Amino acid sequence: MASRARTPEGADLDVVPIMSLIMHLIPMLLLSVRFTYLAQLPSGRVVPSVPAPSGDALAEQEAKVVSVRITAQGFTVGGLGGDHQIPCTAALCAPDTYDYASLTAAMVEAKRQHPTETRVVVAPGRDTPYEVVIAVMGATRSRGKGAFKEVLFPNALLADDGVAP
Amino acid sequence: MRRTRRRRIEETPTVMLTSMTDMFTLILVFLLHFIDPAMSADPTVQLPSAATTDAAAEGTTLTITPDAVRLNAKTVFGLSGGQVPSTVERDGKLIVPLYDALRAVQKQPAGTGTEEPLLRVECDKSVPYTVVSDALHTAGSAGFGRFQLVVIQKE
Repeated sequence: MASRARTPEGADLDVVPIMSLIMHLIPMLLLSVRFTYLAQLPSGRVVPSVPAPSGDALAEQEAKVVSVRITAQGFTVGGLGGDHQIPCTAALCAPDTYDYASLTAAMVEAKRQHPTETRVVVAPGRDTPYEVVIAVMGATRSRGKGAFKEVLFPNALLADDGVAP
Repeated sequence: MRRTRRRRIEETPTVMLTSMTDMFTLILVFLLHFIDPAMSADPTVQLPSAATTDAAAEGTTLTITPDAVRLNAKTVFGLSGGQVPSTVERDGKLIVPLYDALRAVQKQPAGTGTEEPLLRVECDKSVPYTVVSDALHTAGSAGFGRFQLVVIQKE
């Protein structure tokens, strides 16, 4: 019978293999980690067309639909008793020159006029960058933060492209 | 003066690795905390940011980069200059190859339940809306009624 070797008292554990394993795991995990939190904006079906916020049927339509058109000149908000133009803060509209703060203020007014409505139709132009669409959805969704957060129109419906000029 | 005699070390010195192992284990746990399949996006996509706290969920993922449209990481067709090329088969706004791919995914038994299927959309912020609109129109035709537009959470 083979005699069992006695472990000397107070001997350290051989942690070198564990260290080696962990040293391999850490770079692998570092490669796959992204230190950003992803969130989501829910959206409904793409609506085929949006009632124009101007024209003969305006009075009838605007009582029902709150809409935001994104154009090369800025935003056109429908549902406030007429066309409400919000131009860009610079001569040339770019993702960072659209006036999102004024859009949120217009949405607050729209919410006052349509307190039970939760939907807003967002109608971007064909070449509108996706970044602007998301920023508009964010601006129409709520105002403020934390305890001061005011929910405006959380359900955004995206319109077909080409509705806005 | 009395001279101190230095004792010669005859044995090979051993490095105490226990504390270092503890440290690496903590780093490992910290990194594992950030690994979540629903929290990772295609690294080639520059997602837009928005102030929303709704967590992104897993699901069928449509990825739109400036160069290609992918469904569950598999390229469906390429984009040229940020637009759908004319060689891609279309039926009005409907993009036929994407419709077929989405229908194939819909037939898989993963999506159970009676509620409308959800499509997770990861789109690059520079992509023009016309591409997004056509892709969402196609997804709607393929039976996806709800869309989850994935963004980077803004403070």
